Amino acid sequence: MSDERLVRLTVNGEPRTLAVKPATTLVSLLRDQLDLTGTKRACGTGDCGACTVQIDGQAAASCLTLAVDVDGSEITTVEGLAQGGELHPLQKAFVKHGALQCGYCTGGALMSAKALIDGTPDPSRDEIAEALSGNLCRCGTYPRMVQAVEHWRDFAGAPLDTEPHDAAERDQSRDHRTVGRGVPRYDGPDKVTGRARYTADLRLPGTLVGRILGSPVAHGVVRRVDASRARAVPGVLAVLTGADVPATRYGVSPAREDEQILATDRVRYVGDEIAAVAAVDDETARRALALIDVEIDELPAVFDAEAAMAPGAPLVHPEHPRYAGNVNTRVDWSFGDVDAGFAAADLVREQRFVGNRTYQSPIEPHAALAQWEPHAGRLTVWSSTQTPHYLHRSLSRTLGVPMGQIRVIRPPVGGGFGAKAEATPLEFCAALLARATGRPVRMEYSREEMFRHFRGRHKQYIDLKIGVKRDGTITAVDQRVVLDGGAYTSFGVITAYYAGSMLPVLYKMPAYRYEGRRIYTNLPASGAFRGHGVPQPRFAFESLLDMIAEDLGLDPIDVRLRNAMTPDTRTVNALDVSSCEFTATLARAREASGWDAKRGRLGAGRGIGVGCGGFVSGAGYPIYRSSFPHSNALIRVHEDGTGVSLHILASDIGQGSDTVLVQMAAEELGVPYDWVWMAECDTVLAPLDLGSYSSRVTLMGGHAVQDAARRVKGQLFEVAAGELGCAPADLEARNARIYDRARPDVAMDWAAAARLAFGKNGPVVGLGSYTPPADLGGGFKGSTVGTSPAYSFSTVIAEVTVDLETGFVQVDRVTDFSDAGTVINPVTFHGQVEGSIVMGLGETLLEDTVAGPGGQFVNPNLHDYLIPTIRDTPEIRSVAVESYEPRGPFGAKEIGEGSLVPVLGAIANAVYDACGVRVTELPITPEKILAGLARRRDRGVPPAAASVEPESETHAQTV
Amino acid sequence: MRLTVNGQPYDLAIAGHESLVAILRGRLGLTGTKVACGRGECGACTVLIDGKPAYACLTLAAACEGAAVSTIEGLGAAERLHALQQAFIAHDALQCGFCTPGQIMAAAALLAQTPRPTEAEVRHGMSGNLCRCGAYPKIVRAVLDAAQRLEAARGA
Amino acid sequence: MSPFTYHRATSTDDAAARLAGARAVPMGGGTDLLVAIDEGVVAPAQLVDLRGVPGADAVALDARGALRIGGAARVHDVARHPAVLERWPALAQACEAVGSPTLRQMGTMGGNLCQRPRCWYFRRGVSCFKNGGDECPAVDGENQYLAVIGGGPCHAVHPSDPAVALTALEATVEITSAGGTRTVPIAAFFVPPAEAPERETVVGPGEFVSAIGVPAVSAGGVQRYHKLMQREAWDFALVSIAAVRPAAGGVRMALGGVAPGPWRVNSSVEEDVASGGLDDDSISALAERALYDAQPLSKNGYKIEMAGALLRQAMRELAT
Repeated sequence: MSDERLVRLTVNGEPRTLAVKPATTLVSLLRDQLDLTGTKRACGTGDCGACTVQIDGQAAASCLTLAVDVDGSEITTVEGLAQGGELHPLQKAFVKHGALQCGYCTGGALMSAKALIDGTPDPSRDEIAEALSGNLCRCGTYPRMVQAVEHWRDFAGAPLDTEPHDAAERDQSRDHRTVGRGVPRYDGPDKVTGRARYTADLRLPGTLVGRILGSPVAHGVVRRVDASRARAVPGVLAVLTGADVPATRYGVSPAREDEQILATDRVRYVGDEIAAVAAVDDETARRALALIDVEIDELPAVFDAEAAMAPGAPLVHPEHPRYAGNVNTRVDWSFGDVDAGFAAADLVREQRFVGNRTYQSPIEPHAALAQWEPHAGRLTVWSSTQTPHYLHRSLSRTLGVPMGQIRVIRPPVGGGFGAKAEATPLEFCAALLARATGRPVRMEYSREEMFRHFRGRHKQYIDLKIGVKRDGTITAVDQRVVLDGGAYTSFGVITAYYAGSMLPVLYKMPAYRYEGRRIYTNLPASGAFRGHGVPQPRFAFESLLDMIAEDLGLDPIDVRLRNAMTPDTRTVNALDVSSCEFTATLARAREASGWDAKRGRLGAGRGIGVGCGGFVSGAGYPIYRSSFPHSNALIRVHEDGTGVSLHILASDIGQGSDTVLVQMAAEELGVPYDWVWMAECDTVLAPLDLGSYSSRVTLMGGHAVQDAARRVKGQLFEVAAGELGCAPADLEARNARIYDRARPDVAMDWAAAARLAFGKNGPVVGLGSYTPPADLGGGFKGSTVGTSPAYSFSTVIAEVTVDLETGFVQVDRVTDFSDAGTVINPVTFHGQVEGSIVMGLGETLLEDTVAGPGGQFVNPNLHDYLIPTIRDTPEIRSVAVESYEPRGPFGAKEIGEGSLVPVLGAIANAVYDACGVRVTELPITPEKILAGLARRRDRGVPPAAASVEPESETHAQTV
Repeated sequence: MRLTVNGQPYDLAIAGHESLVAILRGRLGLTGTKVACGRGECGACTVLIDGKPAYACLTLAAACEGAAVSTIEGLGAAERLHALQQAFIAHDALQCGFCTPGQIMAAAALLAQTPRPTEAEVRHGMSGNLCRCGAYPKIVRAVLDAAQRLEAARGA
Repeated sequence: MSPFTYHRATSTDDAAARLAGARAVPMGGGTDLLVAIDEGVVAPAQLVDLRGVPGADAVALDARGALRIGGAARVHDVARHPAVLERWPALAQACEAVGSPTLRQMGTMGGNLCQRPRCWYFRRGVSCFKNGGDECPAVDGENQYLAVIGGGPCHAVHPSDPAVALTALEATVEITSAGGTRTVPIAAFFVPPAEAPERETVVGPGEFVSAIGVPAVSAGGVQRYHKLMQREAWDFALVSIAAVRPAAGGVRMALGGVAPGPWRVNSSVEEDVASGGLDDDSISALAERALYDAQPLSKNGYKIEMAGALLRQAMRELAT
């Protein structure tokens, strides 16, 4: 460190203080320390001019200049030419005159020209030639460079369109078998070597860092936002407030677009976005945020959904009469004769259950990188999104830029679980800051900001009533749910419907009433979290079913079997169940877990419990109305026939969808798995797919891939049939060979057929698409939510130990039997089940966000918000109960979300079996178990007796 | 100061407050080491410093002068993955992959200290690395399997 | 993180001299300090890293069988040290219960004793007694993890596990500054909030923990440390207990997670446990006596039950 010294420079107007060694050249400093890679290193000896910069206005070769020698100087590089997102006229002139080809020398040439025109605004051709004589161009654009510099003034203030500059040129330009095998995860090697580049790993030259200022209060009217002190901070390139950004309201649900990029009038939760900053580095951006002066008239706030419904409660969205009483979404459904159903019951039991406000907390923080190309008016956004298409559409609608001018690229995503299923302020702000500064802007949420942005699980207040006959047959169900929606809609309309629509899929019920109320509060917005809306109602249902079984002296699994869904059934709410092996999952889990020997017989403190669940295999309808197919894929055969690339906008967010899609492509094409390349997820490369949500990719993306592969195969069969002397319909492809099904020795190499097809017809490309069947649901309001081509079914049996003195629960063993149709990849299948059990365990026992008195989360970090560790993971046995789903590709259904749904009830029921305490409020903490045990003691029931005489407890303790 | 990462010495000017993970990712382009909490609460940034595991987010780069830092990029060889990496793939011990480099580095530290761990020792030793996808059962199997392979390779 | 300079101390004298400077702060593993700086709880101009001081991480027995643990010794190394495992297993267990494997290998013993409490309000910048305010927002707020005994006006709980074991082992703490070295018993190391709610220990500006001493008289016998955590790693104790009946006799018990610092159980209870002849009823009565002064806040009454359970379990073990 001793030989280094500090130099103070101004680079493109920004003050910089840097430690440099005596031998460091200016080009190294620019490229390596300042990431200004527009200055090229092409010879290193001052012979080519590609490294030309301006030092105090003079053109100089930066490779021959020592950094220590320019202490105190003002440096301008090619990145410093454009100002405020507007290209310098010289740059426009170069583009319009075609004064560049490969572009590598262009930066240096521009800087030489700039030095010239600074002193000689109207240079002669000789002066231009002299000034550029130190700049080599191997493409030979010299004549055009001279023209461009000669006419540079013509381009001051002119727009840069795509019309050729020269009229003559304008006239000339009118031409214008792997399925079912556990093959290794497609992206495994990249991920174990750290080579996978997630959004925050991307580097673009000159990238700025953006940050967002959130509201310090939960509710208030913004009176004044003064960013002048922040703008004055050296290194701050842009500060945006509500006045500087489009006022368009956006949101997931077209009917309730209620969010703003930056607040103009009102803030509704702690963290609601007020301003955004772009600066040269994170430290500067943070400093600037602290210097934005915000005046807010604080308003009364409400942090509980039920309190928000009370008369006189503060209104979160007073601007819309439709949200009176803070009701964001209202669902009132009734199917069958509910009153008659309850009247016919031998036992009716009603219970309130309360859920927790859990957060997905993926390990990768949300990140976005935006680049706005001012000359083209085009925007490119890299984002850690689950749904590139919806992000693409949101950006277009909100920023007022046609989708055709926006490119969305999804690098690998480090987990989402629903948290990354919608556009975030990061993408909007990064795009707008990139436009304001003319430079790429990268933004990331801190962990705390992730919690503030939230979109986690709705905390639900569930009043559930079930009527049954003496044998356990369900006669009627009534469910009322209040969902705490937080300050904005997000996915919440759909959540409110899902919370009601999925109950009848698992068990048959002749009558069902559902009342859902999603309520605005001054907390961060809740959204779509794995199992969307379903886990808490299912926890309630599975718990109450066990309470009823106990009342009737029945075995909980017998009660479930009596009511279990069967294949090819329309549910009471008109959902269309196709394949269903639910009873097989129950029977096989019962046998494998030793249920009959263990239930009620494990002794004090140990228990076993069952829970069931399932989910849609993709939503039957998209989020916004359209006639588009939901999934589309493109397969291109590489020209020598030994490789294939698959282009689809589906999003592997860790669930392994790339792997199963590649498997299905290879299978249908009849080529080896490792022939298939998954192309980058990029809206320029791949056709529309709705993305990763509602557990849709295996079924819907799989269909599109299969369809595309069939079309490729058809083209190959056409040429192969001619070659082999048979009909295309006789042919089959497998193991990289194409052969006559009836005469397998009549065959040719797949690659040879592909080459023939290319030679004959040009590139071999297949396009495939998938639209779900029509008429999957009923015709009533909201009937689309819950529709799906197919449903998964799972039974989970949990075994737990409860410490009767401290109330601590240990989950010892979990057995899972799932019907997910044909399993495409058993390895990733079991990975989904295991991950669901771990996450479900956290939701049941550990996780809850806690809002302090001012409405800010007080545990928004990974220390205080308890997500499970490796040591919290129980022994897991996961088994696939295979079925064949006629509506799924190769018979496949979903697994990723449905497998979480049964876990909560299974653990809650096991805890009850272990200690006789029925906890109805999540999470099930030691504190709640201790309180339940104390109440039992007060009533004279020794805890040790709890699990040996449960039948005597007709009204179990509730906490 | 001199920082040695994966055997490669770098001479860098580093301010006192800069974290190791910021230098690895921002200055050296070694983005395999992930930032997920910035507070030592998740393990995604686990690296080895002189063979011992450390959260790079809670390590000052300046404190690493003279130390040998190993990151995921330094594990294994270009042609052949490290046994742990192979085992993570073979057992599919990852989903989204964001925590995986940290998991593998923590496992490398564990196996360096305890070459033949029991399952309980693996669970204990890997308890400083969160995986939200819940790949834990497979991680345990992968680490146990890698330990066996490494032992066998040593014995051979 | 606001900028600061970094100095790796080369000797104890060098460290002491550097720490005499304005806003100089000692640093061990940095696992709490750097988070605290990021949160704005601490704003140093210079960090003085104590880990490079030769011998500062030594763990050694002296001629009389006492243990000296250097302030920069890593928590992991103490947990796995053969002499500690053999003679002071309660300390080994407490060290093994800290944070995560990586945090134990990064963190130092001195740093562990000097870490700041993780009260949600204090660490998130809400005005409170610890950051210059004059009220405790947790009293009417989220106090489920705070003290049930010995608190007030601040109710934050010190999170150290080793401190609880060291309290039961009657350890001493050596504190060094440019002015010299002083040694305080662990019972006097933590400052009750009624005296000075803004800090937790007697370590003042310019001072650092240079060593911890564990007396020979605490060695051997029956020793255990038990920690109740909701999650199996990273968590601080909801309640923990260190209970020892050393070979030399006597019973000493300390609770963690229930008080602003480690809470040494009343000596009359310890003596009754030592005198033996306990049955389930007398054990329950003693546990209640040990917690007689406990006064829960609105949301942490469960801690008293848990502490009672840990006391009963510990007494049963010490009695056998």
